[in-house]
Amino acid sequence: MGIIERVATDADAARALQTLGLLTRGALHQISNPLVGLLGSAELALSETEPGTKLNARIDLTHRTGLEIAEIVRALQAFIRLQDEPERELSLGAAAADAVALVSKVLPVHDTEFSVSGDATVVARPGETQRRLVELLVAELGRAERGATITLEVHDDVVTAGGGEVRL
Amino acid sequence: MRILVVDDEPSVRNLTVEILRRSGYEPHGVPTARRALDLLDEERFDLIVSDVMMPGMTGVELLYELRRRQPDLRVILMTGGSEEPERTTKAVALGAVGLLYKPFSHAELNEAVATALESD
Repeated sequence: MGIIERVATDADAARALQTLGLLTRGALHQISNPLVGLLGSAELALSETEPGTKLNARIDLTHRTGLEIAEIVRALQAFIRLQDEPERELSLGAAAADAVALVSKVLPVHDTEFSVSGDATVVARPGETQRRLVELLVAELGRAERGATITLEVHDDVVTAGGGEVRL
Repeated sequence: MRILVVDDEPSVRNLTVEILRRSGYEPHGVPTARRALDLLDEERFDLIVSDVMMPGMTGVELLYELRRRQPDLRVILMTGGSEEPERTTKAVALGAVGLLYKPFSHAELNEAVATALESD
């Protein structure tokens, strides 16, 4: 493929990602209103039914399922909000832990374990940092065996996991 | 304490009103910012809990108008949290006493309201 074709393909991919981002933001907004209704109604109904009854147990399951969906929505909302934050001092260990929490909530990680070791303070854009850490984790997830432990190791301004690294 | 809930989504509006009523407040719900402004011309409220994304006048535009009409009235904005970073930044700059990200629990709503009502 020549350079002109490659640039055109890259531009198409960038536009597709931009559209996907817009749709994701819209979908999160559209999901959040019904979730308020679902969780709020379930919480009210739980308080109105007798604990130990079949109805109470069913409502409890509905409520807990709604909370699981809400956790995913909140994690994605927080990730999107982070993209607009300006450069600042941040803990790379905490950023790595946040990236692990996001990936664990949003992706089917099955029985893969995660751990973070080390810490360092860097000056960076929080959104870009988390995005790159998520990319590192996703790449490592693709390579990992089921049941494996993926460790993010922080040294100075570098985070490594398996064969990959993020250098800030 | 009288609380005015503004949200075009009936399920969110009605639930928010019911949760606040059960918590001992005196809430009233309206579907648009315009209706809120009309009601505020006639009645006194201690706090506004308003959605950000609404057809017609948005929650941030309502906040802007309230700063002009009733600068001391406390306002909490409810937001989907991922769609309008510029709007929420503007809301904070305009003096919203709280931002409540949807979906929220009863406890989160009550905590945001209590904190707002305690603020100066």
